[in-house]
Amino acid sequence: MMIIKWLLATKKKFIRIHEDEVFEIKTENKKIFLESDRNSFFLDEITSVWYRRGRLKIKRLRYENSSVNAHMNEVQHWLEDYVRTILETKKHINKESNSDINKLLVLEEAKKIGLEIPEYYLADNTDQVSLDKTIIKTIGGNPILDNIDKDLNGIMYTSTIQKREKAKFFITFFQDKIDKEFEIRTFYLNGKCYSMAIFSQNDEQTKTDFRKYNLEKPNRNIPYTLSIDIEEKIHLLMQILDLNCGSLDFIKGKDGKFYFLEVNTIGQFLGLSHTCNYSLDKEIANYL
Amino acid sequence: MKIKVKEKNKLPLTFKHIESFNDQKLKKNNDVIYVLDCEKYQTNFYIRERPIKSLTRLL
Repeated sequence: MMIIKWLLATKKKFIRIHEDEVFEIKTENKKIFLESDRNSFFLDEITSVWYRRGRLKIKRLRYENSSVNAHMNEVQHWLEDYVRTILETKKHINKESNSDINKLLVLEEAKKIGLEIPEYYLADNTDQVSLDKTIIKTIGGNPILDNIDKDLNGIMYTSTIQKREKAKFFITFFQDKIDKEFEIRTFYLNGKCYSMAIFSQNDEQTKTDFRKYNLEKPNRNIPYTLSIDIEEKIHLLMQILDLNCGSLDFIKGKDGKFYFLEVNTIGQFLGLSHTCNYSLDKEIANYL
Repeated sequence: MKIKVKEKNKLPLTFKHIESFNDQKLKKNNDVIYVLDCEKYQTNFYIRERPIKSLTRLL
């Protein structure tokens, strides 16, 4: 909504597509035209796209005869693929096709580039784990489990391993726990880095995972500038991942090193923007 | 509060550390509504308060 306000203020024409909106591909005057209950647009009239979660839903017809259906499925697939691909060739911020990234591959790429990374490994037992010096977190992108129980959502925060497990478990991601001075969250947009330091280490509640927000006494957050060397490496990493926007997490260790943790493609950034006065909402609207 | 999950198949160790997550808890304890649904642009994140005026805009 903040972005919409900036788009309105700068008099840019836009449409906002809702996650449950279903489009039908049509043609008019030899031009491709997409239409839903709420919106309609000519494909060639779109100049820029900001992708943020969900996906563009396109209506697909079914046919009774199974071989006709198979053929028409393919026809419709290529038509949909054309629309999606064309939209992604426009000026954009994030893309539907690569918004899900593999944490493990990202870490490997980051290592190759020369970013400092806490040692990590996958294992199905805790036999070789250094207790109290190792953390675990999920390999998946979303740590939240909606409705895991009646009226209850679960979340898997990063947690420290304090005791050994007797039984084997499903492959889990283990990583060295870094004694941190503070955390850094960097919002990256087209080569520029906007960083914020989060002083989460002095509070037991937020020590291992700052998202366990302490509402009574919130963490202190301040604008921060990373070294040019790290910013260049971030830029390189994002280029390799073909991402032009995302949020990156770092830890400044007590050993003085900056450790890279992960990239969130569709991260939250307005909090960071407000705290540090970066006006990211305006930056995004300007770019579109 | 830790949540216990029982499944036949093995689960990653992270499942031993699931905690309840409730957005409501993050909201302040009062009746003021901070965000509204916006019909025109179909978002449910229309900030009711006046947006924070960025320092950069004041300069």
